[in-house]
Amino acid sequence: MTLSTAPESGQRWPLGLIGVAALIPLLGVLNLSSAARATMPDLWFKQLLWLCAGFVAGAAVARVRGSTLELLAYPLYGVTCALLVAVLVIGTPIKGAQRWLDLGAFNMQPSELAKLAMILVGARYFSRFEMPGGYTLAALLRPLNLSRPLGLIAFAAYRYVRTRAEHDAALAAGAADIPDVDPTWLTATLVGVAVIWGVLGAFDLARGGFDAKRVVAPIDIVMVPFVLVLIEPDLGTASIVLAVAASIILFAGMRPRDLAIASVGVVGVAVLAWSFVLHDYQRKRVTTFLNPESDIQGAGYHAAQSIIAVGSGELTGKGYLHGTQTQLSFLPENHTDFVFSVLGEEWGFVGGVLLILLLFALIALMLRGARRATDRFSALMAVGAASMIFWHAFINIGMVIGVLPVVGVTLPLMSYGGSSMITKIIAIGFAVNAQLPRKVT
Amino acid sequence: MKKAFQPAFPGRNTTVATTIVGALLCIHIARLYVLQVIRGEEYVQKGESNFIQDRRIPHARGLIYDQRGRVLVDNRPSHDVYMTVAFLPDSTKTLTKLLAPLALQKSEIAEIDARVLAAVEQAPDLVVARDDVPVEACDELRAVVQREDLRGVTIDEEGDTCRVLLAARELPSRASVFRMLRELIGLPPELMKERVERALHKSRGLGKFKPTLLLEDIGFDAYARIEAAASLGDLPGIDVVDSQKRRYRYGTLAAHVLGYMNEIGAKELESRKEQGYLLGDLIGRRGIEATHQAELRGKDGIDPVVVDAKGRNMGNDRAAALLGADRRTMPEPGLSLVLSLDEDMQRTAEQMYNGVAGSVVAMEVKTGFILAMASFPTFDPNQVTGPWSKPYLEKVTKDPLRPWGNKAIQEHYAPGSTFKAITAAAGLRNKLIDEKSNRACPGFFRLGRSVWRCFNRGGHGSLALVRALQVSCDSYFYSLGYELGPDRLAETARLFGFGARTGLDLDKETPGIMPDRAYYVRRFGAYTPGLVVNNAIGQGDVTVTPLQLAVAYAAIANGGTVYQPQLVRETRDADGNTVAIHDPVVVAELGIDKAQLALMKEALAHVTDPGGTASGLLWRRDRFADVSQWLRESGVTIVGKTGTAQVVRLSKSVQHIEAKDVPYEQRDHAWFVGFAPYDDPEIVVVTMTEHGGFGGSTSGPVTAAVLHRWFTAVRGQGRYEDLPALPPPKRVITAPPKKQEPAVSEEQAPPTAHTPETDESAPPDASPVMPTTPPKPDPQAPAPATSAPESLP
Repeated sequence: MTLSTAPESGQRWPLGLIGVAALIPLLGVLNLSSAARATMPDLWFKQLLWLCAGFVAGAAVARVRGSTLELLAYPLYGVTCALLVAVLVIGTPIKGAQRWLDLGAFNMQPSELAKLAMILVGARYFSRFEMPGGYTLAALLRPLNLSRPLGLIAFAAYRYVRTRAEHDAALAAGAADIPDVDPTWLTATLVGVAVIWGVLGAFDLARGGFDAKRVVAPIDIVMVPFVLVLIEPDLGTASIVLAVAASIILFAGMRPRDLAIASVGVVGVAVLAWSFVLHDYQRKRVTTFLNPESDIQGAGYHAAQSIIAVGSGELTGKGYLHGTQTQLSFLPENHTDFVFSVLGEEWGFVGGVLLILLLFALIALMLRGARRATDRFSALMAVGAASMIFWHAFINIGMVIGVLPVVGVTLPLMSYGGSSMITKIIAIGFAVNAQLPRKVT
Repeated sequence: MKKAFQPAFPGRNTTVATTIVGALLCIHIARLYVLQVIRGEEYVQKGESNFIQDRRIPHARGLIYDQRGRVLVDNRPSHDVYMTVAFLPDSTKTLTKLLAPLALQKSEIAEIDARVLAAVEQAPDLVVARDDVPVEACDELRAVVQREDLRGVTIDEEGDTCRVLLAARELPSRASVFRMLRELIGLPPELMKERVERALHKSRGLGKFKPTLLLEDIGFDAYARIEAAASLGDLPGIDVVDSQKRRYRYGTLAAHVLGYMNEIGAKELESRKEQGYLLGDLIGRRGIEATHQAELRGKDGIDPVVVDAKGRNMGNDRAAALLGADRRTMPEPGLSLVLSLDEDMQRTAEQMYNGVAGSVVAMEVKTGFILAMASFPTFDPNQVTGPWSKPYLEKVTKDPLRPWGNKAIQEHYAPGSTFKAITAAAGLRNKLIDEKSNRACPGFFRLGRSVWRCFNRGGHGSLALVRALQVSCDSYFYSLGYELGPDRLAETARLFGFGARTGLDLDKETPGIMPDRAYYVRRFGAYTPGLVVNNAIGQGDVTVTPLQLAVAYAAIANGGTVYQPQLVRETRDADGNTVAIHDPVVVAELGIDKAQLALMKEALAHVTDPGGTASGLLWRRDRFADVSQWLRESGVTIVGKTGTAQVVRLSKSVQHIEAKDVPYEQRDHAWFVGFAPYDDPEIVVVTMTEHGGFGGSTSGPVTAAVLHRWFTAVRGQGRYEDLPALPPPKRVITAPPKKQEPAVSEEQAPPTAHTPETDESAPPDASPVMPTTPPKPDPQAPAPATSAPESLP
């Protein structure tokens, strides 16, 4: 297939996009110099270095051939899933969560990689999977796929192993409450259901002929990394992974009726997740989000202090280095998840709106790749990258100003973090890549 | 050739996506608008309440002066030790940091920590944290010690292993800080332990970020040592704060009038919440400190301090920058009180007091202002609060003589013969007696089968009022009382203020008992006629407080006005300006003819004359010798009455034993009430000595001494300088009268005061009576018609 360039053939590099993509993190560095002043005054410089490193990586990604990225999608996906499993098994526990792998010279977070992998895989898979009129739920979900019963068995096995481990640990430590091992009737039921399901799936497979989608449905592609990240536990990153995939699917188009049904289904799943999947502390975060005053010294502290910080900035803020919440350490994590509070307190409404507008510009410019792309893959890749930046920004700012519950999601290009910065700039690189003319293969 | 541009997706998709992104971000912009523009001020205030911590600036409590402006109670600076738990070193953290290279379990570290804390108070204080540590770890341990600059850690090499030794007193921990404090101040370990536990309990939870009082009033030397140690960084979490302590400058002087201060209790906090008291505030107790608490108390100031999230004070510059230079609210000092007490007279009363327990009251006759009020035994208000107060408090509370109570107003006693003046007043008011009317004293009073004896067994013969009071004849008053009956006696007594509180502004005054017919009906079911007889001579069921007696005699002295006793003359502000002046308050007018009152005064004027029951006052040779001399030479006459109130009924066979042979608790109470001068009396003094024996010899000199002080040191100066000079003495007494003094010049308690004997066979032998003017009737003669008893109902 031959492809041609976008209409504005003179412009090769999208300077606007790159300009905004450089401006925002520079503001971030300025913001960090105030945020971390009390505890880590050199932080802003480290961030600057990461920024430069990120730009190198982003530029490299942008220049790579689009087809190379396509080819990389599935291998990257496989490696990511393997690393996600590894982190669950041999990861270093920090604060009760297993998110980091100690690779000797440095630590890495596979969940960051998962976001990038999701962009590429999503773009790759759904670029090849076309349904005129939009995707149907049946096509996406494929209820009778063999992957489900296999997944169910895996789930039952996982639960058994986990509860057994907790039970044995409590027994050895002589604790007062010994959690029960999953009852055998439950495991048997799950296995039984899985077997029946598998039989049905096998029939369906025999009847319809072998099709990769009958074994691994579109939803499975998404669910595997989502669940693996979720049980680390890392609700924030898992949500981003899911949101990126959903954005790609929606952009590619779903049938309206199926979209409506899916929305209802999502709500239902959320309720189920609340009751059975979420940890206590995650649940507490939501309840305190709805009423931060109820536990202002505990879980509600973050949210309440953050809102105070932002609100007290008023119209023009208290001025650079003059934010009392920030300078007097009332807001923990203000160099990572809560950087927006610092901005809000010191630069006020004006500063906050300015940043949101800049982010909007960034996302809109990234989406231009979707408009101009002539191949589905590039378009969906741009959409995936833009959605990742968007959802990060939307959820983070939302939690900082009390619109959403506190989940651990960073503000792209502003929060301190090397791997986070590099990931975001690589994603921007994807979007730039999508806008550059594709070479003919 | 360029092909036509064929996008992979319709442009509409991108437009929709971008629009959705914009719309969702608008939600955030809207929310920002609400938070920052609409509700911004609210959050600014919430932010301020985060970092503003109001510290209190203690106020200066009002001072208390005596009538001449001498300071009795003021405030002195003191140094208090505060601790902030959050900044105290945590030995668990230190150990975890130190022993990190050894990767120990939490429980192992806890075990070492426990051993270290236990060793702080021992000698030597070395604890082996870990033995046989492999050499690689040893080097890491040394690196940690160096890097973290840890004190009290020694790493001893032993071949190819090493041992970690900890010096418990040096390793930063709470226990080591407290131990150092304790040594710098010099407190015993148990006391320190108790203080520490109390302070730790107070600073639970969020309190660990706030300074909590640990030790009060440590003294300047200890303060200097602690400041030195703190400046070296040896005492993290410890601060010394300057405050003020109440000082009672003369120790026990007027302790009961002044009162003392201690911490407000939890229940009181509840009831006084609107008045702005906080836990740890001191409040006045027992005395002027308590009854005038509202005036003496000022208002604390507020010093807002900027703190960070950990509660650390960020300093004055930060506070000035963020809160402004005029952020402090200065404290308001309390109002000061000028009392009517005179320090000289109070001191005289306390020093010259001639007994173990009892009280003295000196009062201005024409106004009711109290010049001295002393109660014995006493206590020192300075020792009642402070870190060493507990043993003192215990001692005072356990003393069987009850030092806490103000015996001048909180104890009531049988007044004894001092009450005879009231009975006389009742008799005069009801026209049962007059100047000339005589009654017979055969040495007893009979009513049916009951007989009450006069202390003079031989009888005083026939007497009129003046003589009856001078010699304190019992029979005269028995018969007068009987004739009056309980209600008429009580009616007059109540005019004088007996049986009710005087309303003095001190706490817990008792009203005493003034029985009337209704009282007896309540108590016994019925009134029997003889019950008033004992009351008439101040025994029986009547009880009075020394203050009531002073008020009553002042009314006699000033011509019939009953004043309310008061202690406070003026209220002043902190600059010394007078804010309020208290005027005398009239409670009642006796409504007794002035001539009759003059007659009573005349009758009471001979108490110190030869033959009077206090005649010995002029001839003392002990420490009251100066007073006696003055009495002889100054021409001032003490007008008054002795009283010897029987406490226990002695059996007939031991009626005449010496006072010193009677056990203390059974000895009679001794009263003396006297006012002076005779013309236009100025001052009345009541002395009451519990179990003092004879009123004239035990309590009399004390009253005389206080009166002496008034005339020689207080009268004519300052606010009293307009009093007229005393006339020169009409007579100077140089020698005691010849020795034909009668055997019974000292008044004794009537032998059967509490219960009359039943019928005796014959009246006692006649003994010579005092050489006085009224005729001596035959002791065998029947009692005059006026005193014939009514037939028994």
